Parts: sequence; C-alpha cells; structure tokens
Amino acid sequence: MKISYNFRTFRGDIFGGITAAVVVLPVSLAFGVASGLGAVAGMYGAVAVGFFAAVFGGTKPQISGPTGPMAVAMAVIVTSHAETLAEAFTIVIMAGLLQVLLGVMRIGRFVAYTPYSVISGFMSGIGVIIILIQTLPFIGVETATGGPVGAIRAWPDALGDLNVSAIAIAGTTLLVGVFWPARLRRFLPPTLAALIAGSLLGVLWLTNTPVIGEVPSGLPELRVPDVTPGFLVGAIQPALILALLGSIDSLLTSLVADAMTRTRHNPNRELVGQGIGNTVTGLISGLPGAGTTMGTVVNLRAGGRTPVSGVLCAGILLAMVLELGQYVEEVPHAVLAGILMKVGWDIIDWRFITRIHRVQREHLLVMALTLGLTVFLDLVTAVAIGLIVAGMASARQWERLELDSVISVPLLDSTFLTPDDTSDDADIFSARTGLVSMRGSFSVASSGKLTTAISADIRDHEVVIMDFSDTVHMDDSAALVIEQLIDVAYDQDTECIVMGLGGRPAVTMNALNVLRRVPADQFVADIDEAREVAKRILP
Amino acid sequence: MKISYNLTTFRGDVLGGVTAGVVGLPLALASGLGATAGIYGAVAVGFFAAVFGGTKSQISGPTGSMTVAMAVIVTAHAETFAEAFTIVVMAGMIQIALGLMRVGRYVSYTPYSVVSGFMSGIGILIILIQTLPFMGAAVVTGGPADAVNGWPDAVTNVNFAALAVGATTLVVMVGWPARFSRFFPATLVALLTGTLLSVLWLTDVPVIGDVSATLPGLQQLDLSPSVLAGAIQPALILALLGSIDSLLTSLVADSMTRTRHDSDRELIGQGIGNTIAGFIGALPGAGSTPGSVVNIRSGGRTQVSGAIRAGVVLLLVLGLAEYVKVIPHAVLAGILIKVGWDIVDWRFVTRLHRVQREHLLVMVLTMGLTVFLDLVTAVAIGLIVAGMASARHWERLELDSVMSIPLLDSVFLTPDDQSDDADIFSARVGLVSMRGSFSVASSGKLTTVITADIRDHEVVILNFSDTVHMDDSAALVIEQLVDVAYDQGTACIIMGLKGRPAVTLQALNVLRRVPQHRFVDNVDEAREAAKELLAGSPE
Repeated sequence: MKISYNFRTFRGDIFGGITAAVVVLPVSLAFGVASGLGAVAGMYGAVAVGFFAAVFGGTKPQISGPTGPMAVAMAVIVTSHAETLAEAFTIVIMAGLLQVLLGVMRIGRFVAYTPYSVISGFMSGIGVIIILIQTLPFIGVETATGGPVGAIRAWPDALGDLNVSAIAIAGTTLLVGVFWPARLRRFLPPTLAALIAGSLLGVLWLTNTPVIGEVPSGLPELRVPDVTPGFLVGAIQPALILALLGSIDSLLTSLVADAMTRTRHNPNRELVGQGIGNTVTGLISGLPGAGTTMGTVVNLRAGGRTPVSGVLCAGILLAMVLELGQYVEEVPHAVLAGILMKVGWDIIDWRFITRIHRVQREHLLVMALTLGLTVFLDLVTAVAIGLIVAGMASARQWERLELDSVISVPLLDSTFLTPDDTSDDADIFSARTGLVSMRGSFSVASSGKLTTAISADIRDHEVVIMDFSDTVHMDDSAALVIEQLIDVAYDQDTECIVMGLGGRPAVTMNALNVLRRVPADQFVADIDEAREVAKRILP
Repeated sequence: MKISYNLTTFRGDVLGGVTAGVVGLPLALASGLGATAGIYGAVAVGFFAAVFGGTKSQISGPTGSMTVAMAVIVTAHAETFAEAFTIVVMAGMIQIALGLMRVGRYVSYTPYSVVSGFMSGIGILIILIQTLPFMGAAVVTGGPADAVNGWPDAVTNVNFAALAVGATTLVVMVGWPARFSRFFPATLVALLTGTLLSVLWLTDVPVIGDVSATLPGLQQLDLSPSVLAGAIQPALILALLGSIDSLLTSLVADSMTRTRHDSDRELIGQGIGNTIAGFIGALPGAGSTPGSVVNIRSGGRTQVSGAIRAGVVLLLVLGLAEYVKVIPHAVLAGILIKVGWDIVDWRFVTRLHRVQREHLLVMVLTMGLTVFLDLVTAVAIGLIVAGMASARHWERLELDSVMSIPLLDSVFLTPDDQSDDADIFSARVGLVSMRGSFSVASSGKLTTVITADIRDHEVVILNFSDTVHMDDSAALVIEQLVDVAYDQGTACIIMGLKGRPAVTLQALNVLRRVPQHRFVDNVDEAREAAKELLAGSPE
C-alpha cells in the first residue's frame, strides 16, 4: 500500500516516536539490568536495534528494542554460554547475522503458521518468568542466577533478609503503574510515571535500597568481537536460539501491528532489519532486541505510521543516554522490579487463561504445555514442543476429515459391467469390482488408518478401481499407503485399475514409484475406460 | 495380525536374536558406566521390552542416543551413581505413564520424509563411527564428528590385519548368496568367517577382550526430595528420547514386516525395561534400529527373538565370555557397516531428483541433523519443518474453499419484485461462505482475502453452514474480520454456526460484537435480518 507522506503523517510520526521513546526507556533500563549486562546495555540496545530495524525492517510502524524473551534468553547466555562479555556480544553479533540470513532465505513467512495456542502459551510463559525473577529485587534482594527456578529456590533465604524500603518503593511503583488514571495517559504513560514516582521516593526518603549504580554515559565504544575458531563453533547453538527467538518475537509483533493498521508487513525484510540491528548492537555492547509489542502499540495509538517514528524514538533515546546517565544511577532496582512486574502481568495472555474452561481440550493442552516448558525448561524447546504437539493435535482433526472423504463401494456386476444386459443369467448380487474413491486431500494424518480402512475392502474383490479423479493433494506418506494397498491387492491376486490420476498427486506417486506393480495399460482416464479394462481382466 | 508360531518362525527368531545380540555388544560395551552396566542394560531392557512391548520384532538395548544422554546425566546432573540410577528409574516410570496416557499413537503422524531422513541419518552415523575399528583404531564414543577427526590418525596408523579381517567380513556380508541365507544368515557366517580368520592367521587385531561375568546386584537409589525434584528434568528428557527412539524403530519395523505395532504398549514395555535397568544399575535403553533391522533381516518375527537375544547376551556374559573375547572389533565393524548401508533409505535417496522440493528439504535436513547434531533435535526440527511445509498446502486448499460473493439486491432481497425502480446492480449484501476446514495455515492470508470484500458491503453474511473444522488461530481471524466490518460500519449476520466450530468461536468469545438476534440458521432468516438492517438506521 502506497502512503503519501504529508504533514499529517509527519505529525503522527512525531507524536508516536516521542510516546514510544517514553515507554521504551524504563523497560530498556529494566531489561538491561535483568539480563545481567547493565542498564546502559539496555539503552544502547534500544537505540541500535530501534534505529536499524526501523530503517531496514519490513513493518512500517514497528518500534524495536529490548523485549522480555530476548532479555530472558540473554541472561541465560551470559551465565552459561559465555565466559567473558566479549564472548557474549560475539554471540549477539552472530545471532544478528543469522537473522539477516533467515530473512534473505525467505524463511520469515513461515512464522505466520505458528498456531495461536503456542503463541499464547509462550507469551504467558515469558510473563510468568519475568514476574518470578523480579520477585527478588522487588523485596530488595539481589537477583538469583538460574532463571525462574533459581528465583523460587532463593525465596526462603530472601524472606530472611528482605528490605522493607525496597518493598515500599517497588509497591509504590507497581501501584502507580497499575492505577495511573486513563486520562493522564496521553501526557505521561504509566510506566514513566511509575519510574519517576518510585525513583523520587528512593532518592528523597528511602535511600537505603540497592540502586543501579555507576552508568557510563556518552557514546558507546566499538567492541572487537572474539573470533577464535574454537569459540565460534560453540557459539553457533546459542546464537541460533537468540536469532530464532528474536525473529519469532519480532514477527509476532508485526502481526499485531498488521491487525491494528490493516496493512501487511514484509516478514523477510523485517528479519533483515532486525538482524542488522542486532549485529550493530553486538558491536557496541548493547542488549539484543526485537520488535516490542508495547512500544509498537503506543506508537500506533499516538498516530505513528511510518519508520520515521521508529527513527525518532531511537534518536530521543540516544539523547537520553548521552545526557541522563547521572540521573539513572540513582534509580533503585526495586523500581525496575515494580515496572517489570506490571510488564510481565501484561504479557500474560489473560483472554486465553480466563476462558480456559471453555477452550477445546487440545488447544488447552498445547497452551499449558508451552507455558510450562517456557517457564521450567527453556524458550526454544517450549516453542518446538508446542509446535509439534499442536501439529499432532491438528493431525487428528485432519485424520477424521480425510477418512470421511474416502469412499469405498462395491460395484454390482449387473449395473457396472453389463448395464444394458437385462437377461437373468448372471448372478445379480455378484460384485467382482470395487471402487475406492480418494477425494480431497491425503496426508500423513490419515495414512495410518487408511490402510486398515481400505485393506479389508480390497480383499473382497477381483478388481479394484483406485479413483484419483478428485484427489487435490497427496503427500509422500499417503503415497506410500497407496503402495501398501496395491501390494496387498496383488498379493491377494486382486488386479488394480488406476483412474484419473493427474497433477501434483501424480508427480508425488511417480517420484516414489509406488504404482510400479500396476501395468501401464491399466491406467485409465474415466469410468468408461475403467469398465472396458475391468471386462478384459475379469474372465 | 495373528502370526502362527512354528518351527520356521522359531528358527528365524533364534538366528535373529543371536546375531542382534552379538551386533549390539559393541554399543553395550561403549558406555561411560562400564561394560557391565551396558551389558545388563541390554539384558534388562531387551527382555522386558520384548515381553511387555507392542512391537513384535523389536530388539531393545542401549542405543547410541541413550548412551550419549546417560553420559551427560552422569557428568552433569548426578553427583553419585545412586542419583544417576534414580533418574533412570524415574525415566522408566514416566515412559509407562506416557503409555498409559496413550500418547504413543501420535507417533504414527510422523511424515515419511522425517522417518526416511532419520533412518538414512542413522545409517550414515553407524558407517562413520565404524570406519575407525574397520581400520583397526579404537572406537570413539563422541559421535560422528569425533570419528571423522580420528581419520587422519587412523589412516596413518592403519592396522592392515584389522583392515583385512574387516574387509573379509564385509565382503561375506555383501556377497553371501540369498538362497543360503535361509539356513545360515549372512551376519552369522560373516561373524564366524571374520573371527576364524583372525584367530587362525591375523592374530594382531584389537579384539573385544574381557567381558565381566557376574550377576548384577540391586542398585542403591537416592530418594531424598531434593534429588527427586532436580531429577525430573533429566528424567523427562531421557524418557522422551527413549520413547521417540523406540517408536521410530517401531515404524521402521512396521514398514519392513508390513505389520502395525501398538505404540502405547511399546512405551509401557520400554518403561518397564528402563525401570528395572535403573534398579539393577544398568544403562537405560530403547528400541534399537540396527538391532531390529538385523533381527528382521535374519528372520525374527515375534517377541521370542527379543527374549532370546536378551538371553544370548546374558549367556555371553556368564558362560561364553571366553569365546566372545576373541571376536575382533574389525569383524563387528564390517557387519555394522553393511547394516548401516541397508538402513539408508535408498529408494528415497536414489529418487531425490524427482521427489517434491519440500519433501526433499525435510528429508535432507532431518538426515543432516541426525548425523551432525543429535537424534531428538533432528526429529523435532524435521517435524516442525514438515508441518510448516504442509501448512503451505493447506493454505492453498483452504483458501480455495472460501467463497466471497456479492449478492445483488434484486436477486437476494426482492426476488419477486419485478419493478424497475431499484438499481439492479446494487449489491449491498455480501456473502462469505467458509466451507470445509480452516486452520492456522490459511489464517494469515484469509484476512487479506476477505477484508477487501467486507468493506464494499453494508451487510455481510458469514456463512458457517459447511464449516467442518476451525482451530483457534482461524477463530481469531474471524474476530479480526468482524472487527473490520464493525469499524467500517458494516453489520454482520452469522449463519448456520453449529457443532465444534461454534464451540471454538464461543470459547474465545470472538463474536461478542455481533448482537444475539443476528445469529440465524438459514438463508431465509438471513434475508429477513438483512432487510431489517438495511431498512433501519445503521448500527
């Protein structure tokens, strides 16, 4: 869709960019700290990913920056995959390059095939992880390593030395974040109001709480990546995980943006843009990022429609990094915990969860499984298993639908072979020919039961006509079932006639050579030819 | 399928069991827990999985992937052997639970291209690993990459005696005439020839060596709550790995014997085997593809072959240890290289150029990951990619079955009105028929296809009369469509919604913007509702 750029669009972009920057700022600081790389890494990430993803990406109003899944994944990489920060940022650069590669290979469009129950479970899981991890700084204790399980394990100890001031600050932040009046939101978004309120409380009265501490201000330095071959090989796996997560996260946000603007994004270009952003952020020691749903939504609500808003947002954040460093130092960890609690709560897909009792059982299973694995195992395994289980569950549906559309009928000799012969000499109940019509599409889903369903019918006849006239789709597993059926037929001395085979099903079946036992003269086009062949075969 | 048990079947079972027992020996020996643990794993899992399992010709024992997984558990998850074997017992019980929950049958939804890639991958894996002992070098435990790394060393220090023994074995395996195979299976002849050659002339080759000869005792388990909590994750991985490994082997066995296995019973059998293996301090196992293939090729058809094989291994340990220890590794390598060659799915590989592109991609990807990464990841990614590829097909089919047509006022609203006062080309009502099934596959494009049509009309009738299936992702698309309609001032009428699609749509509450009285059963009621809407003020 062509958008002519005029003053109205520009004004919308300016409002959108400013609002988005204000929303992204506190979250970036918080994710930076939560990832273990420090607040300023979150800011650098927001600037680098935000700028390059806006310029090179494929979703016009998208705002990119540090997100929940990326921060959670990065925390794991810092603690268990990298020994030094140089190694950690090398992984980020590799992840960025991999994303560019995924975009160039046009893999982006496949993300749209992710079922809703998987997305819902994954997002809710991320929300739960963020909340669980933030319980510790919320009560003034240092964050534990080991992800959400580590945080739960640290609870008994943490209750012993909780910091009442921290709880007061975090509680205030959370309350302001939740109850900020709707009519004030246009001027001051709740996250920023919460950040200011909590920080003021921490600076003015309750000063004995852990704060962010020294923040290097100024332009980031270029970091030389660690390119020793031994390390690079080990880094492929975490880099791939980071790249896949960032891609899924960004493209899910793109879908949200599509739904709001009624436009369509270009998924492959979006991946290239995100990849460039993450490559640059790795070079300047920033937190990797993805398209942020929250930033994108407020940008759209405020009127932002084009990449100009994303560029402006990144520019504002850069100015803040350069100027605001000294103020950020005083922000207590508890404030960030309060903000992230609210963020985590909002990420959880409450619509699905509050309706769990009415949702179909298989969707519920997929969602609960993805959620549980996201929290207790790891993000990529969760999505992978969610996808597989969702695929298996829908295979059951297809199985039912596909089996319904197979027709296996005996053809009475008197009606099929000799329709004009009204003499009584033939046995009128004799049905030496069977017709098996494979209508519609056939896939691995029904292939298991197809054999059992048809084998019995085949044995009862002397000639079987396999009718593929109405077959629209047949995959390799279904083709092999046909081979088994034909083997069963010939082993029982039943002749086969193949009718109306054409198009892609023919290509698949010929490629696997499944019809090799059927003589060439028994391939016919229609039922009349089939009758002639059947007459010839039957004594 | 009922198989009558007679002397021929028994002879096949004995020969199959003996050969599989000998062939499985090197894997059993090559574990981190010592040779005894490996051998008793082969005995316990092999016996109980055969007796209680659901695949008649299956041979079970420590497999490559289970051995590798167990090594990881011993080094990373367990501090004592008691902890390690507690994990094994838990894994066995989880498998039994999976079987009782009837999760096993879902494995039959595995597409052929994934099974084919997995089998070819295993074949290549076996060949790569066995190249080292074939040349007289020691077997490496790390997998194919380590085997390839070991090549330069092995080639420079090649043991010509071993090479000659290995080559002779391989030649006998390949060249043994088929008509003698009924009495003397190639594997047994090759084993005897190769071993005799080395005992009589080429004595300078590495042999299996001493095999432990004691009965196992009961293993001490560690049942403290903290250990049990930490053990869940590795136990789950081990259970899933063993289940996938076993059931894929069952699929392979099915395709070789043209029978169908009982997946859920197989899981229960494997679970019982692994539980007992854990109790006696043995390696966990799974259905072994090479073992089962050798068994079937040698004539094994019933559970007796599996039980005999376990007995053979036990006898080897207790009584025949002195005879077994003279078998050269090179002989086993020669046999296994032929076995690996046979597992490769040559039908698919030789027809690669004619197979459809997406099946080819899935097969090659699964094969590559099986060889170079690990078996579970390979199958998981293969399943996901196959799912995405078939989603593209469904997308096309599903979109074809949506009909969106404008209804001429003159035909739809006033069929009996012959007066010319109305604009005969006016079509204020649109009909969108959702026929057939709708899933996540088409949900992305569905929005784009229908949105444009909705805008053109004042009233849209969404017809669900012929909808058979609708998943949650498709339901959310309907919500988007309804939103688009109401945002554009178009009213919606819902027609013929019933059955499971109705349940899904209502569970997610996607039709909340449509007033209750706009739900109609048939086109006549829809006409009345449309007339009412067009006559009255716009909603």
